[in-house]
This record gives sequence, structure tokens and C-alpha cells, in this order.
Amino acid sequence: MEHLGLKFRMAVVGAILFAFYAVVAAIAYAMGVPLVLVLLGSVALVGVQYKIGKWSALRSIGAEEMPEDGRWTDVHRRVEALADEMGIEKPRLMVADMGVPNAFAVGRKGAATVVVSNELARTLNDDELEGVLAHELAHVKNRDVVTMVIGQGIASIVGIAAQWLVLLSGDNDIADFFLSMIVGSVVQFIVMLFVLAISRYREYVADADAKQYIGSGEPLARALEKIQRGNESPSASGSATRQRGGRGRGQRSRGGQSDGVNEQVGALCIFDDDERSLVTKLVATHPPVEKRIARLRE
Amino acid sequence: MEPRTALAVVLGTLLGLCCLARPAVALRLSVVGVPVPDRHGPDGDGGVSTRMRWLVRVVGAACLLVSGYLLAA
Repeated sequence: MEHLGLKFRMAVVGAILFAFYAVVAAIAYAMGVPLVLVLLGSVALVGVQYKIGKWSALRSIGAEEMPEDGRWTDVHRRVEALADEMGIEKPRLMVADMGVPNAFAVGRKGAATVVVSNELARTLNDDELEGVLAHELAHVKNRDVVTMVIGQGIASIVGIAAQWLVLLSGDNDIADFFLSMIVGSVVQFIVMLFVLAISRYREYVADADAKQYIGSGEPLARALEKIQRGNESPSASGSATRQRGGRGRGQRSRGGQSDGVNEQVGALCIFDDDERSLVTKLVATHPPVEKRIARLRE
Repeated sequence: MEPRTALAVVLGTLLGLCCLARPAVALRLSVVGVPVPDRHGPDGDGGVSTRMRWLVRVVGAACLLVSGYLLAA
């Protein structure tokens, strides 16, 4: 079986997440809320989060349709071949000026969009770019986007439930109201730790799948090294964007990250200015790049 | 002081300090803090914008203020 260890860890964390949800559903049922209503409400919440997430991801960076001609022809061709090999529909391809070399996938299998930054296309050679695209397509194939949205939906539901439990069991004074907000947030934080752990496992799996489909881990490993360097000096990428006539919204300096597109793009960067402390590792959405590169080269 | 009020003060203070000291961590752990839950990139979504950090710090300061008010009341 593929990725046995990762799947086992995923199963354990997934079971814990489900247990959180089951407890909330049981409490709601005990309080007289029909289970059907609980399930419908949960599905509606996850659906709204999914739609808003996809819309805001594309809008925040001003993603545009990737032309099928010129420099992007080869990208379309490679994505089509990879998608065919993975047994998924070719996703919609878009480009954006993100200020840093990056790419991401949004949407579900069959209605996915992969966004590639202009900076990434300039930074990587064809093979490395194919490695990154294979990684993104693996996310689509493995339904990672939907998995994450469901995880966040559970965190929201458990947090809201905890908030209402505290509120309904109190005297409705300011202390109870405040306590309910705090407890709701803290409970949601705890559930999110498990969701982020799942996210990190999914990255390893996507890397392994990309390695399998392109026949080698080396191109993606090299791509990650270049992306890492690109993120360490994003201003260089930003200035390259400006020199090459990047769109106006991307032309602000990233140094201050005060407003405009670059602020939104900041959410894409791998490196926080926090150090890689235990806390930072626990809340990371991705494993350390060094570990990913080492696994890709194993 | 009632136990629930004391709990509100303690938890509110802790959350407020967390938001002030590590806004990126607090933001990442909140559902709204991962504005794009499906934003998986090959290199992650570790960064948090300066504006969002300051917003979280304001929330943290508000938590400390309310905790202080409850303690004083």
C-alpha cells in the first residue's frame, strides 16, 4: 500500500477530528436538535467555506486565465499529460503576479484551478516547473483541498458549539459572554492543530505522488530549493515583476507589506519571520522544506 | 469573584498575551486566519501579512482590556 505510515497517521488524526465532531453532534442531539439538521448545517457550513475560500484565493491575487499560446503552451501540454496520467480532468490554469515564486491549487477534483505565479515560471526550468505542477495535480487527485475545508469546517462547528454551550449555561452577563468567546476560540485553536497536522501529511503525500508520476524527485527538489531562495529574497522577484511589466496592482514594494496585492501574496510565503520553533512547527501548514527535499531525493 | 468570571479573566489574559506576542500563530490557528483553506502551494502558506498581524494584536489588546475590566469590577 502506498504511503502506509502517512495514511496511518492521517487515519489517527482524522479519527480524532471526527470524534470532536461526533461529540458536538451528540450534544446537539441530546439538546433536541434533530441529527438531520446537524448534518445539513455542517454540510452547508463546509460548502460556504469551500466557495468563499476558492473565490477569495483567486480574487486576492488577481489571477488571470493562462493563455494557451506563447510561453504557456508547454505548461498546458504538460498539465494535460500529467492529468491524463493521474486520471483526473485537466484543471483550469491561471497565472498571477504573487511577488514570490509559488503555485497553488483550489477547488475540487473535476472543478479544480491551478494558479502559477509569473515569478515561478521565470525562476524554474521546464522540468522543475513540471515537478511543481505534478505536486499541485496530486493535491487535486488526493482531494486535499476538500479535506482541508472539511477539517476547518469541523473546527468552526466545534468552536461555535463550545461557545454556545458556555453562553447557554451562564447568566448572560458580560463575563459569560466574554468567556464564551474565549472558550470558543481556544477550542477551535485546539481542533485546528489537528487540521494543520493533516495538512502537513498531505504535503508529503503530494510530493511522493509528484515524484512517482514524473519518475524522479529531483526536479521538484530543485524547484523547492529555488522557491526557498526566492522567498528569502522576495523583493528581487518583485522587482523582476516590475521590470517585466507586471500588473499595476503588483507594483507596490513588498518591504512594508502594508497594502495592495503584495499583502495578500504574503499569505503564500513559506517563511514567516518567526523562527522554526516547536510552536511554529505545530502551526505550519507545510513540513520543513529541508525534510521534503531529503525525502524527494531518497 | 465567581469561578466563571475568574476563568474568563485567566483565559482572556492568556489569549490576549498570545495574540500580542505571536499574532501569526494565533491567526493560523483561527479558521479566519487561514483565509484560503485550500491554498496549498509547493512551498506553503506560512506568511501572514503585517495588517493581519496588527489586527490580531488589537484583538489581543481588547482581550486584555476586558479581562482587566472584569478583574476590577
